[in-house]
Amino acid sequence: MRWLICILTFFVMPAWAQQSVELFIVEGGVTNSNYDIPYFNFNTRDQFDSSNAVLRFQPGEEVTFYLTNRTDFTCAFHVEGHGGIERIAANETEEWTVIFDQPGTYLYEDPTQDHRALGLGGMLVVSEFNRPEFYAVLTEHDEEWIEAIADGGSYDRRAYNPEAFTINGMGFPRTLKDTLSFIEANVGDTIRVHMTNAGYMHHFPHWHGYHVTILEASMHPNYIGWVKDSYGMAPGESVTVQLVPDKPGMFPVHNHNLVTTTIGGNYPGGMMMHMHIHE
Amino acid sequence: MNRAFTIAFLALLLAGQASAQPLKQYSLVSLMDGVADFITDSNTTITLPFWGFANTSANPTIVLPGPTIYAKEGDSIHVEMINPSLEGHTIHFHGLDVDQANDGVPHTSDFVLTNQSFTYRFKATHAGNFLYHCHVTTTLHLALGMYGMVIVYPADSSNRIYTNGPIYDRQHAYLLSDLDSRWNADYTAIGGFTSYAPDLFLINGKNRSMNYTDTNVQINGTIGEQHLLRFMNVGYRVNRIIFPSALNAVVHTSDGRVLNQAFATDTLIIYPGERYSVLAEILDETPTFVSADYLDPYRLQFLGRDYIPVNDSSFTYFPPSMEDDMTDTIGVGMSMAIAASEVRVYPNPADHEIWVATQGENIEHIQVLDVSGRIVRSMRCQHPAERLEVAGLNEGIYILNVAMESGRLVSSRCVIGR
Repeated sequence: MRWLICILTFFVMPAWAQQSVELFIVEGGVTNSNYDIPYFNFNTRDQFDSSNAVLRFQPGEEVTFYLTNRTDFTCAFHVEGHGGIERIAANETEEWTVIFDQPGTYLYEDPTQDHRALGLGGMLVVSEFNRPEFYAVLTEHDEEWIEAIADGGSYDRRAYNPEAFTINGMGFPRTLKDTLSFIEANVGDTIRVHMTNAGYMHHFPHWHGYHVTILEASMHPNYIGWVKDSYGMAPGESVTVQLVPDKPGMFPVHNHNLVTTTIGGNYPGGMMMHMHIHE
Repeated sequence: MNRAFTIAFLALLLAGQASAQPLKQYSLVSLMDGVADFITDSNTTITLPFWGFANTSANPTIVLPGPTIYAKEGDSIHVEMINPSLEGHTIHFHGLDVDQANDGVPHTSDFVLTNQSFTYRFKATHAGNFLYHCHVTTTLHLALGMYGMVIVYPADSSNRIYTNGPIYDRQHAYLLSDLDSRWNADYTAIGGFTSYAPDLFLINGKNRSMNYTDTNVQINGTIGEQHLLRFMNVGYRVNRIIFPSALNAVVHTSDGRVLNQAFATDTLIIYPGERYSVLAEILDETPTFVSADYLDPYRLQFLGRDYIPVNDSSFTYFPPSMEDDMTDTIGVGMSMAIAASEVRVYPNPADHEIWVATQGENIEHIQVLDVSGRIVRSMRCQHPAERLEVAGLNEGIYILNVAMESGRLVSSRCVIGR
């Protein structure tokens, strides 16, 4: 819930306002269906939370980021298409100011080699849209990679074998309680859903019950304007879709590489979120 | 009075008949006792069990894929599923936007338990290509073969891709899937579901020479003929379809919806769950083939290939070359995508003009699209740096698709602000 409040805080700020955002790079772990995953992410508070903070700004806003690195290795911070901070030493704080001119959905990450595999990838939205919006950061987790990267060990970059797949750090059924991705809306609402693939694999959202109109697809420009129920997202890609539901019901939205609807090899789990449409 | 009543009654009856939606009824049986042959990489035949569906009869015969369901746009469709097997199953009608009760998802809809049946009811609202599959322990049940196609024709049953769409002379449906022979051989011994590593790559439930003499698979025709190719990916891997120069392939629909602009391509990426309708005009009758590749979802590494013969009744399988082991292919209708940094777009934001410049390669074509996907500028080019007039465009964000002389495509964003 605090992330929702955080988003709303950004959302209600006037377009001309200057923002300051504190982000902490924090180590923790998430547990889904009794499966533990070591996990690092960006939080707006100086403590671990399972989801990377979703950052939302209005077009034209000037934002100053203060990045504090709570890990014991050097990190960095980068917003797709905007630059960032090249080096944030352990337990240091660095500052960066940027103006977000262009509406869109962007990946932010630690661009240091393979640090995104630690979980250090999130979503930044620049938008004036003022109707129901939802946010899903898709990623996968290879425990061997995470431990080797965090501990400075070696790992085979050709062998990537993730065994956990999450949306906002959660696997189904935890996603049913995720205020960012659980789509709660009414028939007739105009809904936007922002998705960012912060992982290293391609992911393939499939919508039950509805087709959606693709407004933005950063690596599949041909998709823009298409009406789809299934689509692909390349690593690092962001996609924004819109729909106006015409029937009530509870419908899953899940990855159609169905290996990813598992956690720790067990079904059901992983990359499955839901949409609950009311009369 | 009686006469007036009779006329009113007949009028009501006729009105009711006029508005009634035609009903298509199917009855399927879910079964777990299929056996089928496949051809391995070492060119030997392997016999594997599979699960799937059969048409209901006294002695139902399970088939891979399941029976295709046909309907017309506007039809009401009733599909009864009878489950005599030992596990619960369902049918999810993928892409048909059915309501919750008919969605076939156990945790939001219901199971069809052993010796039970259920009739799924929904309407075919759009012509196009759709899928169906079991949604119980989906990772396993689908991988073992519980899937099939739903093909919806235009309401007038015409040979058009969609209502009032382009006409075709012949049509072919290709359901692409992948299969891990270890899973099918003994599903109780697979361990965790992340063990899935497909080694058989199927078109309509078969592979290699099992398909090459099938006239529904082969594309046979004379110059000028238009063949509708329906591609559907129900597998867990990415498909890359490569068309030969003998076919002019134009993509018209995806996921049962008409594209905002049809596009010609020699390569089509089809992600899991996606479907496309491609109209292929035969330009050359020389024997050739369409390649259907299967790529890993990590770095789109090449896993395997099968073929669709074109005007070649004696086609035989040949192994792909090492050059096919390409990685990092992205994009719909793109061959190898290149880094956006290879193209500069300036000034950005722009006012009246935009320059697009490469590092030396000639640009062949530039498209400018607005955020709704509408093409607002399109220009043939021939130089490494090209100027576009944008004074007539509204302020906003635009997508630039830049096609290089080599056939590669790069995309970039720009802002027009004044």
